[in-house]
Amino acid sequence: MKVNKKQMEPLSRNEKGQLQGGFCDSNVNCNNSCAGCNALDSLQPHN
Amino acid sequence: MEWSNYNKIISATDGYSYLFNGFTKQWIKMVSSLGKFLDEYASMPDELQAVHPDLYEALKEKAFLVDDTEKEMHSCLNSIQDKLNDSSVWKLTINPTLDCNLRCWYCYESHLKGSVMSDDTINNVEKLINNTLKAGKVQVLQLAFFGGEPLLKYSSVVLPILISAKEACERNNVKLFLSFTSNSVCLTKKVVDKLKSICDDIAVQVPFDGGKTYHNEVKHFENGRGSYDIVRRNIIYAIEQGIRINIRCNYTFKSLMSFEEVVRDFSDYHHYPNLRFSFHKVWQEKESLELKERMIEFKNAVMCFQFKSNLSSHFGDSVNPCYGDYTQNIVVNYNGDVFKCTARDFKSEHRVGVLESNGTIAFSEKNNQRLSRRFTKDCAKCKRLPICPICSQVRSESSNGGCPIQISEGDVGINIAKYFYDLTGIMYVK
Repeated sequence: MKVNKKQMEPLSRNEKGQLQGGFCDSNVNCNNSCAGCNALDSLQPHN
Repeated sequence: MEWSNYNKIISATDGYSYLFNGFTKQWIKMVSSLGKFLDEYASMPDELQAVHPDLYEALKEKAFLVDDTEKEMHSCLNSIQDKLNDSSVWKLTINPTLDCNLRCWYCYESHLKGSVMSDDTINNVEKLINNTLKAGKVQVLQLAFFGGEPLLKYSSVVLPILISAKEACERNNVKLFLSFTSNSVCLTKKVVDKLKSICDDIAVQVPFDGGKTYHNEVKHFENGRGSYDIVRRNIIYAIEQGIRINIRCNYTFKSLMSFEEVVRDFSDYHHYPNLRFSFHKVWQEKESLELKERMIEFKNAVMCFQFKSNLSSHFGDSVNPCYGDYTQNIVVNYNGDVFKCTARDFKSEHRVGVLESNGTIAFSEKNNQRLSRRFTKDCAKCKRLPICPICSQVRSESSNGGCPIQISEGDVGINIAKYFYDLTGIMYVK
């Protein structure tokens, strides 16, 4: 299971006027239950 | 630095934007205002460094920004080729017969009555398995039985090949996976027990045509008797024995709602990890708005059940390349003809090779053509390349050497967003 380790900081400006925050570069939580992942389990042909 | 060719900014229904890369399968979550901002800076990434240095570094680190998009494209093509040329997994499909005990109206096969793999061909298949495993590259043998109805020839073809394959796997330290595409009329307790005693990893795909009435209208014996109850009883036992069962629901506009009955009939087994439902429109049935609306109605009707399926997935099993695209994949027909996939009629003029008496395959030029035409002239510049579900058979049949489907840039974007949803469960704003 991938765990989101980082918290997203609010989008703001630093003292130099540059943007900071507003994003999270750690792939979000996965509980291994979405349909796409389930589909990967199947060894069956899909014709 | 350059903006990766496989980036897509997706507005999601959770109020955030996601930058997703179809090649690396990485994504970055961001507030929607930053998503819009990033969209503007996609064509001038170096200027982004001065405006939002942290984001720029993150984009570089996760390969949303690349040194050279030409190199990235070659790297993507190479990674697909490497995956398809993997020699550690060998997919071997056997058609013991093209005959079937049922006559479904939509079946694309010609049902050759009396066709059965001869003892000589069985021998040649066993030699082929021995030769291939002995060479030492294969770590996993995915042995599949197709047809026709493969279990019609369970004792005379399936069992001898399976026993021989199992022994060859043990001698060469190869893991064996076994699968069947079967209407499961013949998947009796005795057959299940025997198969389980030989192989502990078995999957069966079982087609259903609707609830009992619909199913029996399509899948009945020559005397008119329906097969629903027999099949249900057989696969319940198989589920209990740990066999992975994929109930393939072949639906039409007319039959779709009746699948609620099928889902309900297996409700005692929904919690089994080895039971899954897979819904597929019968290929002759046309796509229509009415069908889409009925599918929504169906999803609402079965929402109260907790079962594993492809109902919430856009791409379904197509998130993986088609098994037929792999180099180490062959289908051996009952008469020794060799094909690349099971989705075409098994006429000798379509074969890619012939199984020889010494257990080798004499491949024809057709095999090389298919392998060498994995990509069309349009693939290299296509943003969908890393997740494209078009199989090499269809690509190789393209008349002008280009993409066989003329897909717009907008539809490519929607495709990528749907893929992202399948991967993460995060829904894009339509």
